[in-house]
Amino acid sequence: MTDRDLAVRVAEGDADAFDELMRRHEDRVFAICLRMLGDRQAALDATQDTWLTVFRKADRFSGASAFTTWLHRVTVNTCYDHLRKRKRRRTDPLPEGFDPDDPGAEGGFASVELRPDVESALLRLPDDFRAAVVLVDLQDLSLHDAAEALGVPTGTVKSRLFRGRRLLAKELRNLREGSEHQKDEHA
Amino acid sequence: MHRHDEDRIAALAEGHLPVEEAAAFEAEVASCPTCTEILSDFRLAIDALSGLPEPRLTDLERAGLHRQVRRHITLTKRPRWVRLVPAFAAAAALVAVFGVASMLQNQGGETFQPIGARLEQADTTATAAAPTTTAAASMGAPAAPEMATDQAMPAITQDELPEFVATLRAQEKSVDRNDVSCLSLVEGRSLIAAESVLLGGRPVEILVIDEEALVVDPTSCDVLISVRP
Repeated sequence: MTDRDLAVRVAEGDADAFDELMRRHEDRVFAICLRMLGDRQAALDATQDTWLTVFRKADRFSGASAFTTWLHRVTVNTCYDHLRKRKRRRTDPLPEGFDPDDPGAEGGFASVELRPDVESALLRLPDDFRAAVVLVDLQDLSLHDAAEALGVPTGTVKSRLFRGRRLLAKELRNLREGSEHQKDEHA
Repeated sequence: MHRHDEDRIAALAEGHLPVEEAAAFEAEVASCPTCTEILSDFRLAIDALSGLPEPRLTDLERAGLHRQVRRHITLTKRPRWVRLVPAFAAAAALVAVFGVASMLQNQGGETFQPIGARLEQADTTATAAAPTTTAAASMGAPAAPEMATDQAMPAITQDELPEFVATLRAQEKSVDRNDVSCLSLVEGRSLIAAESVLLGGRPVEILVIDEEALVVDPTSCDVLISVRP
């Protein structure tokens, strides 16, 4: 049964169809949430919210595009909501020295086993640039599909992607230079 | 000034150019410092990202996710016919009002009231979700998307609008961007709150952004009013 068929059944309240859709795509949703939010617990929360939205709003999936395009859109919008809430919370005064969103903070990247520098650099990108980079360079979406998922024109995604890549490269160089500088100091 | 072609540089960095074309273009790029820098940035980013492992849920996380989602959908699961009850209730209320009005007119019409007033009466007697639909119908306004199937919208006047916006701004209520009809209007801006309301009987969407709130027509996405603090 195709994703589209399952989505139609979910819209009719079929929980088994929902389970099957979730089983097929839950890792993909989680991967996007983790890359967007950079924190495993936050990514799990966003993954949960995404699937609840899919269940509640499956009747809004028109079938005009692929189910995954719609799912990406729901996922990215959910991540934007979580990021917005995080930013609003950040405006509250915090105890001195407390920085929960420091990308280098211990525990921030329980998932990022192999390349913490890349993950750190990714998280330093503006949200819109990061979304474009995540969808195109990590999830392998075409510019067209990423544009549909983000609800913006293809040219906008391309611009965000190119600028995101260049910023990412600069962040990576900065991080590596900083790391080498630290090594020199210890030597 | 040299005009660098980012699309083609991206194609080169992504390995999408045919071998011969790639070699020729790479030589061309080498003669342009800006192009060389762009190509170097693109390659560094693409190489770094391609080396990232694909994150996956652990078995424990997967089980927890399934449990939580299942718990929520069991609580919220409603058959389709239940979601349509408010629409049926509203329709039934309208039919009842017209029927009663027609009977009263046939009896001499002494208690005849304007259609708006009769609909307002129906408003008070219909189900909790029905007033939205009835009120909108009384104003002859177009129904907002899904108005009949979702919960009732608050009704406010234009005088109450600034205070309503301030309340929305202060609530920190979670915004589900998938619920927003005119998301393109807040593109690139932080959406603090969004609410569908009846403003003077007309269904509108209020989008509270950083420095202002936009009152928009949910069908055309025309901005009707901009409210600034």
